[in-house]
Amino acid sequence: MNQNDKDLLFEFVKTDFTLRYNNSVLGFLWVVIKPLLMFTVMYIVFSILLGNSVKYYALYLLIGIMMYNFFNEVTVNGLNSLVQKKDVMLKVNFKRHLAVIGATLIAVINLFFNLLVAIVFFAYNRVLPNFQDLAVFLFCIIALYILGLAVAFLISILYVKFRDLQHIWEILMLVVFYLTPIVYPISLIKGKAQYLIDANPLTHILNFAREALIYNKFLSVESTLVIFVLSLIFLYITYHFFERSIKKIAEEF
Amino acid sequence: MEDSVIEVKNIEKEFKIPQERKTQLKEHFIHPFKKTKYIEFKALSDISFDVKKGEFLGIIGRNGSGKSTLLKIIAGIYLPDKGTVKTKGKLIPYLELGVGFNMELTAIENIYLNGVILGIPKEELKRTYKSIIEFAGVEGFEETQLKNYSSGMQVRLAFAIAIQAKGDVYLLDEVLAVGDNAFQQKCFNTFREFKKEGKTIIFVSHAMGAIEEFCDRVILIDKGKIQKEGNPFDVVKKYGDMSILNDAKRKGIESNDSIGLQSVKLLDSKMSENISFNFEDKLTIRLIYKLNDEVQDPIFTIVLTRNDGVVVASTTSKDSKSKIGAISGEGYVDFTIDKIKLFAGVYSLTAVLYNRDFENPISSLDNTPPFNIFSTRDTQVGIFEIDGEWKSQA
Repeated sequence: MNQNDKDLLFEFVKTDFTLRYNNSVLGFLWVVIKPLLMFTVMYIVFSILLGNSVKYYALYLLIGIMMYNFFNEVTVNGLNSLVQKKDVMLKVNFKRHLAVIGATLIAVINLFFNLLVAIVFFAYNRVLPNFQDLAVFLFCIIALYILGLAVAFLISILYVKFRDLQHIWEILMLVVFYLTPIVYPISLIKGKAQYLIDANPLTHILNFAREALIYNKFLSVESTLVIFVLSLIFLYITYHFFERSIKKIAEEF
Repeated sequence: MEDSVIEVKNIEKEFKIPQERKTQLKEHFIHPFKKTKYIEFKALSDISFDVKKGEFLGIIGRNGSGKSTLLKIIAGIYLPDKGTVKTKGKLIPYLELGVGFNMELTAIENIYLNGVILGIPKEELKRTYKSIIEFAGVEGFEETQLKNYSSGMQVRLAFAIAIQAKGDVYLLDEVLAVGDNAFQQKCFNTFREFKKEGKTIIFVSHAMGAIEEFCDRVILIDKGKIQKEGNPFDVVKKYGDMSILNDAKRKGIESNDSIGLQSVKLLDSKMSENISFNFEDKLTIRLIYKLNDEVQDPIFTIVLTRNDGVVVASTTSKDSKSKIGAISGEGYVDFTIDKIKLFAGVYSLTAVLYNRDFENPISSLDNTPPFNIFSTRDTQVGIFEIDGEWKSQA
């Protein structure tokens, strides 16, 4: 990446960021308020339903929501990234993947601020992750980002051709939300549904992260490592799909 | 070729324009086997040319002739179906001013965004943004959101940023189509600057005056093909002829057997045909007619329009002292202006022939090919020069 690419990426992120929070009263605070509200609603509903079966349920739910939101935001921002920049893309030939990466980086920034809030929750519950736990968590976030970016490269192109993908994606992400142990513990699921949840890569990444961060337990790294490597391969494939399709996509805008 | 910076070889581009576009997945599900019907439109075929280092190449042609598509292919935005484009050095595309401008951002923020999109290093923008603001004449509004800028201010700002971009090859598409005359003069000055610095430029425009003034070589494109290539004067003339012919065809005035006004010729002081005039020049507008029957006391009118739609002036032979009398067969009338006195710009005219009652037009020619008025002075604002004298009290 040369200097101009870096500058461009920075400007894209900065612009998106400014625009998103420019005209709202609470502005930037929404980045943290939204997941917190979501957390509050779900905490009330599900702590009644689940009782006290999950230790540190507040932390369990909060980390789950934050990681899911992160993945959701990476993919949704990625989906919109090309269509949003079409005016620029029809006039200037910059490296198109920067538009996608820039859009996904916003999600990284938002996650960062969300984690600052999470620290308060951890402190309140007197849960103190050690260095290894944090390293595991970071590894999980990177895995999640790679997976999200891979999806983003794929669906950003598809969205140019099929404009109702946005709605489909929204529903799909809702399905993913319930197929991932975010509000419920994985031990709750019995029978055939188990396979479905097990096949979801987010399940493994989230579990791995939460066990380390909240319960100080180091699960076997294997499944997450496999997901990490598969995500990398997936990213490689979708990136090449992206680069191959992008030149022809300009006419479809 | 060794010293060519752009090599375009056998470019072909076809657009498939779907008659009903399936942009929704839903439609693929509802009518999975229904093939979308396409209209195939050949935008470009077999285009080849080289551009040498330091050359100022003009591309002209009517709307929809494929000029902009060609420019977009050179800029790497569209992929050609066939053929290759090779470019050397850094390419700066000015396909539009203010690419990426966002109305919600402040001027400064837009300078960085637009500047970086054009490939200007950020470090340089940090150094030059003050002079950009100054050049655009928007001092004091640095922190104002762009939506509160007038369109004139926006264009000036966009232009001020654009000229900061340093590259080897510039692609200019109709940049001159926006802004008032003072702004156009500013653009022209920048072009002169570019030319002096020996930069390579591809310039797509309808402003024939500018094409003739700046370009070393001109390519005329029509219906996706190169119709003529060569020195500006010849190519622009060919374009003019083509336009007149096309206008005539569109109106159903077939050149030979139709009746009425045939064409308009613009003659300079040497009475030779021209389309570019100095604002102090003599201009003769010749209306060529062909009639079967004799027309008694015909009335000719001419309406001059600037290319932004402003009706500039009109004249009619009804008010003229010299009577035209009866006309028949083939012939012409001349309207001579001693000094044009219209400020620099692109103009066109509409000519109408009436019979003596001045009610029903016999024939008309609308919006003839544009002609250019240029000026060596850069102090002109407005439409025409007012006659008058300055006098000091002392």
